[in-house]
Order: sequence, then structure tokens, then C-alpha cells
Amino acid sequence: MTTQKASLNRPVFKLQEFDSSNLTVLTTLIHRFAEAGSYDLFVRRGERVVHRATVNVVRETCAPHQIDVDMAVLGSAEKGCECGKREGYTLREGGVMCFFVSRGSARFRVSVQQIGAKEKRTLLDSASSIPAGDLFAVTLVLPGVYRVVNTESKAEMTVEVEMPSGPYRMDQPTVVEIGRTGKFGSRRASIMLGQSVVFRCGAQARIRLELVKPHDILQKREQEKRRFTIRKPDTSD
Amino acid sequence: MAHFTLAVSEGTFRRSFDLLKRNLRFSKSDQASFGIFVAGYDVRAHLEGGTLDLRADNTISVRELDIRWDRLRFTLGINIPEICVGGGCINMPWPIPDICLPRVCVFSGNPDISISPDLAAFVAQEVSFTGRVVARYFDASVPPPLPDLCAPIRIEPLPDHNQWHIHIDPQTIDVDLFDFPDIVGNLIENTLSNAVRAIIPGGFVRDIILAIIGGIADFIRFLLDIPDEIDEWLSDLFNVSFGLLDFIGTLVLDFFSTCNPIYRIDDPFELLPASNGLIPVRIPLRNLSVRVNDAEMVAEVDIGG
Repeated sequence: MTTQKASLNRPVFKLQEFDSSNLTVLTTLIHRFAEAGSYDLFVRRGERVVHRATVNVVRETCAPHQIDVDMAVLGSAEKGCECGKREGYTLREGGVMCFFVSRGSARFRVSVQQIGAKEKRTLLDSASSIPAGDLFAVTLVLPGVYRVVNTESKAEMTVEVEMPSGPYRMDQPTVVEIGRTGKFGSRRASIMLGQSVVFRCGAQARIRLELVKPHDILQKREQEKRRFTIRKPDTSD
Repeated sequence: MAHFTLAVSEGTFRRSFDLLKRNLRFSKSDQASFGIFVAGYDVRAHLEGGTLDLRADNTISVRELDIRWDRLRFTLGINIPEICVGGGCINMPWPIPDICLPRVCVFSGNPDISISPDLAAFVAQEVSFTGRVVARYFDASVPPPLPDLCAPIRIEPLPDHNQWHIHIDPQTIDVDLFDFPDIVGNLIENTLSNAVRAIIPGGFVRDIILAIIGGIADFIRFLLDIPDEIDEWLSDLFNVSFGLLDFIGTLVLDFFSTCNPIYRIDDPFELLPASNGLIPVRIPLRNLSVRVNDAEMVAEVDIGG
């Protein structure tokens, strides 16, 4: 057994806001490629393109129907821009690509363009909105009440993240439908800490979550923060 | 009919046995990997107490010899696995295949924790055996076997001349199973909990990680795959997995039966030492046989040519 240091994924415990236009750790954007064809995929960290690839969507059933892309590791192999290099993915028609961030505090944007015979058509630009048919998942680790807003339709809901009182499973995501009008399918959702809430977009959406009422354990710790104080010596005499 | 008969009273035989028994000390250490954890031991012990009884049916009964553990160090090393959140699959309407979310690990690096408590004070065991006495001839001209398995537990070096050796030859040996009390389970659980707690950051992060893993106690049970009490698990580890009982049984057997005679008689036996310029008077001993009854040990021997 080799001894290793424990490594804490600190951003997981710091993020209190999530936005589908800025993909961070704990968020996952799921884009569905409904039609066969060739697509250009760009992943940007800030303004810099860190990954460019061609996605070939094919009808062969042997192709995978899901590809996970960890954006935290893209562009980390070499320094500088990778925009000149092109990687390729092959996906089954109707399949999905899941863009997620496993660690770090970087923010990412994803865009997908369909390469047609005469023009390029932008199917996804996460910086502005998520198209209908896509999904946006957020895994919530800090307990408390989150306000969820679809800024495209001004719809709101709340998600309550509870502290578990006993054993539970984290791999049970809760799905929230976003209707064609952009409204959320329910006003309130409740999940356990570490579980995911998935927004299935029936219309174009941009989803923001914000922790508005932290659980007592977070507030209590804030109040209990110990400080080291040095007082300036009194020199009035 | 034998030329000579020698008798040793039961009291004398007991004292001889007591002297021999006191010299049985042993130590052993080993470890085994069980996938996610490594368990090992480092033990040292000696024998004390017990009663010896010569029986009329030519057998010896030794009861309740205490195994005194001078050291019973138990080592447990656990590789803490990644602790991840999220994941799970989303049920999609036909014909879209289900989508499975990636997991994000909040705590990674596979750190190791290790504990090594000494449990000597918590274990009491006894060994008992029944056997008989046997006489074996030691021929100094025959080289000792290689490897010499008796070397680590032999009290006296091999003689440089021929001898008759009288051994206690255990036939059945009973060793008490390791039976750790509840307090040991609590001790190990607390020690492990402290070790796990030490690698988890403090503050609310700890509260959250503890909530994710379902508490340290449950987490440890999950890691060690313990369905019941830790003390029972530990007892099974020592009784079955480590093979220590077999080692102790074999050790007692070898110590008395093969490696260390309770009595030695030189051959030829010196009746009169050299004196006044005369050579010593020595007689060769042949066909030594021993037996016991409920009062004494009896040895009979012929004088050979």
C-alpha cells in the first residue's frame, strides 16, 4: 500500500452560485445530437479555446450514445492554445455529450456548430442559453435553500438541500422539467446533500442557482470562525 | 527384563516440566492484504502456570497453561477510497437512451491511515494438551537436518556426543480461540475514527463529508466490510486469517516433542569419573524405554555390549 496525501476538492465546498452560462465544478451540461452529421465543438475557459474537436454523429448502433468530457483536464497536457489541434468524437445519432468539470475553479463555455453543406449553424452556445432538448445538472453539496431562476423566462423555483439523517444514495438525481413556456414543472424540489438536480429544458433556458438560505451548519461555522487579533500598542503616553 | 530401572516421582517430573516450560518464548509477525486494507500482527509471548498430571494409562495431561502475551500488536492500514457525489442515471423517454451523470469526487488521493494498538492486556488464552513420554536416541555423528527447524526454540545446543533423550510428546493440543472483548472493539473503532478524522478537514467541510459518508463508524464498517461487531471481526482475523492458532499449536508440539527433551542421558553413561589415574567407568545404554503411571515416570534400559 503506497502512502498518498489526501486531496480535498476545495471549490466543491466554496461554490454557492451556479450558472449554465458559466460551467463550473458540480455542473454538467448535457447536449443531445439529434441528427447525424459533423459538428464542430469548442470548449472555452474564459475567452480562451482550450479544446476543439469534431463530433461525428453516425447512425451505426455500435457508436456510443454518451460521451463524458471532463473539461477540467482539457488543455492541461500542453501549454498554450490547442485550437490548432483537432480531436474527434464519434457518437450515435440521438446520443449525448456530457460536459462537466471534475475539479478546479475555472469556468467553461461550450459551443457546438453544425457543419452544413452551405453554412454553419450554431446549435449550442452555453454562454447565452441552453437549447430545448438539452439538460443541465447541478450537484449540490452545501446544504440550504437555493433559488433557481430561468433568466430566459424569469421563472423561479427553490431547491432545498437537506442534511441526511441516515444512510442514503447520492446517485438518485431529481429531474425538473422546464416546459415550453420556460416555466419550471414544480415550484419546489428537495434533495439530499450530494445529490443532483437535473433541469430538462423544453425550451431555450439559462439557469442560475444561488444559495439564499444556508443551512445552520454553514452559518454556525461562520459565526464560530476564530480570529487572531493583534492590537496596536497604546502609545498615547 | 531390563538391566536398569529408573523412576522419577510426579513432583520431580512436574518441576522438570516447569523449568522446561518457562523457556518456551516465541515471537512472530506477519501481515496480509485484504484488498482495501492491510492487517498484520507482531506478537511475543511466553507460557506460565498450568498443571501437569501423570495418569495411569501411560499418558500425561497438561492443563491450562497460560499464554502470556508480552506484546500483541495489531496493525491495520486502510486505503481511504475517493469520496464522490452526484452520479446516477436519468430515465429518458423512448427512444432516447438513459443518461448517466458523471460523479465528482470531493475527497481524493487515496490517503492511507494506519493504526497499531497493543492488545496484550486484553487477551487471555490457555493451552492444554495430553501426550505421553517417548525416548529417542541422539546420534551425534549424524548431521542435524537442514533447515534446522528447532534452532529458534532450542534451549540448549545440540550435544557433541550421543545421548538418550526423553521427550514429552503431545498428542492433542487445545488452544483457546482469540476472543477479544467489547472494549477492544471500541478501542479500535475509536483509534480508527481519530485517524480518519485527522485527514478530514475541519469546520463545516467535515460535517458535510461526514454526512456524505454516513458517519465515521459506518464508513469504517463499510471499508472493512464488517457486518457485526469489530471485536468479533478481530477475533476471526486472529483465529482464521492470521493462522496464529495453528502456529501456537505447532510450536508447542515441536518445542516439547522434537526440540527440547525433558531429560537427557549420556551414552555411554559415566558410572564412575576418572580418578587416581584410572579411566572413567562408562556403560553403553541400549533399548531405553519410558512410561508413566499415576505416581511416577519409569525408564528401563539395558546395558549393551
